[in-house]
Amino acid sequence: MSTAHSPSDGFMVEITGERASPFEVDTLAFLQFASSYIELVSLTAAEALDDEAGLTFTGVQVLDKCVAVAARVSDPDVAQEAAAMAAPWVRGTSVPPRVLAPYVSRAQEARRRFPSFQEARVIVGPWSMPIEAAALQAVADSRRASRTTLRARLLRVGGKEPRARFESRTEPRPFSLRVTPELARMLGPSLYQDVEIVVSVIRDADDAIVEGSLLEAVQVKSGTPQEIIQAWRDFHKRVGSEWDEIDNIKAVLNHD
Amino acid sequence: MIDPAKLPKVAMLDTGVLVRALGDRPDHPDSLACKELFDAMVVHKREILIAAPTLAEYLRFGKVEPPPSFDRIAVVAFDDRCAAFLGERFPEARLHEWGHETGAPIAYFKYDAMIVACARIHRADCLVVLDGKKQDGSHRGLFSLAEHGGVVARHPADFQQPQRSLFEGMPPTTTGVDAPVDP
Repeated sequence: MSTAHSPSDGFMVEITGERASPFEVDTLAFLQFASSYIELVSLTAAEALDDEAGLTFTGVQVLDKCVAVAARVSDPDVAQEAAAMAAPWVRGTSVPPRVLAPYVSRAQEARRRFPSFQEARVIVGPWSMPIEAAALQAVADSRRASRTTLRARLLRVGGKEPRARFESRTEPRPFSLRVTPELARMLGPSLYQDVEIVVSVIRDADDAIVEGSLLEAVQVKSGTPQEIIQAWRDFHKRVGSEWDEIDNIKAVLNHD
Repeated sequence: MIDPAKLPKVAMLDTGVLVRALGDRPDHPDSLACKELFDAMVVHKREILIAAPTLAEYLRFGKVEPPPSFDRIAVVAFDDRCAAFLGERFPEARLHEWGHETGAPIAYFKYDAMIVACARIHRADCLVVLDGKKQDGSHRGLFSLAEHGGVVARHPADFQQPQRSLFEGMPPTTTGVDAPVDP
């Protein structure tokens, strides 16, 4: 029987199902599962979400309705996002960033100590999600290196080891990149604005950026519609005016 | 005149559309529609994408400088994702078939296929092209390639308000051209 939800700042890890009771559970296995999972969520928030403040978990409450342990978490929204982000890694359907791989393995190993007919869940306030672990088989490393140019919105920049976080319409999820201190300083004024970036990244099987480095960045200018239109028409006058003497564009291009 | 309700959120412009949108050829039949589309996309805060292969086709006169870097209009890269898509959807054998069917050189299709790949990977809602329809109603050129690549293709005229008759709402005349004329 699953608990409906935890308090709004509550973070709960539970095991439910047949023979999942406080009196029968393997104490060590459950504590190892809860601690490895909470550690993974905390580090995911720090590494993949650039949560500089750091998630803290305070207090321990062992609930007697099923096998569950609860704590107060400093930022429930970040905890939820981190748990959701880590889910495909623990499930084995996506490859985690290298720095988090050992923690994902520990959480997977701890989860596998419980039979599949017992369900593990994470609950943050009203939100919950099952915690499923990959079966014991090698997960093919389908990551690939890629270098490209993107237009992206800068969400965050900074940290002790400087990183910048972006979102881009053409990327499935926001992503964080390592940056040099010089680039980080240059990016500062562009916070919450579009930037043209050249990146060297690792993509997973879903084509999402898992990790990478920012190589170059150029701020994209904002302009009134008239300024934007005029800038492009002036560009045409400087580099493309010869096109205006050509009647059949396709005929010219076909001869390439 | 553009119907703003028909504007896509994100449109990629083919080379021909870009040339007519930026250029000065009021006598060309597609110029007005291309200019109006370009301007309306910017005014109504939509996004215009230009594929890097399009920019390569455009910059052919020996004068090269980086294009303006403003929001609303972005040049998008043909990168490894586009290359993988191209290889999967437009293998060489298929491009040769198209070439044989149309008589056009394969290099022509390769560039267009690269543009379609950019539209797909960079999530354009549509690719705006000047290619039209053949007499049998089927699409030709880039329209056909876009369809094969799973990209919606549109002509600039597709975003115009419908033409209305000058006589709309007026009662039928009794002195029209077929009426008998008094000698």
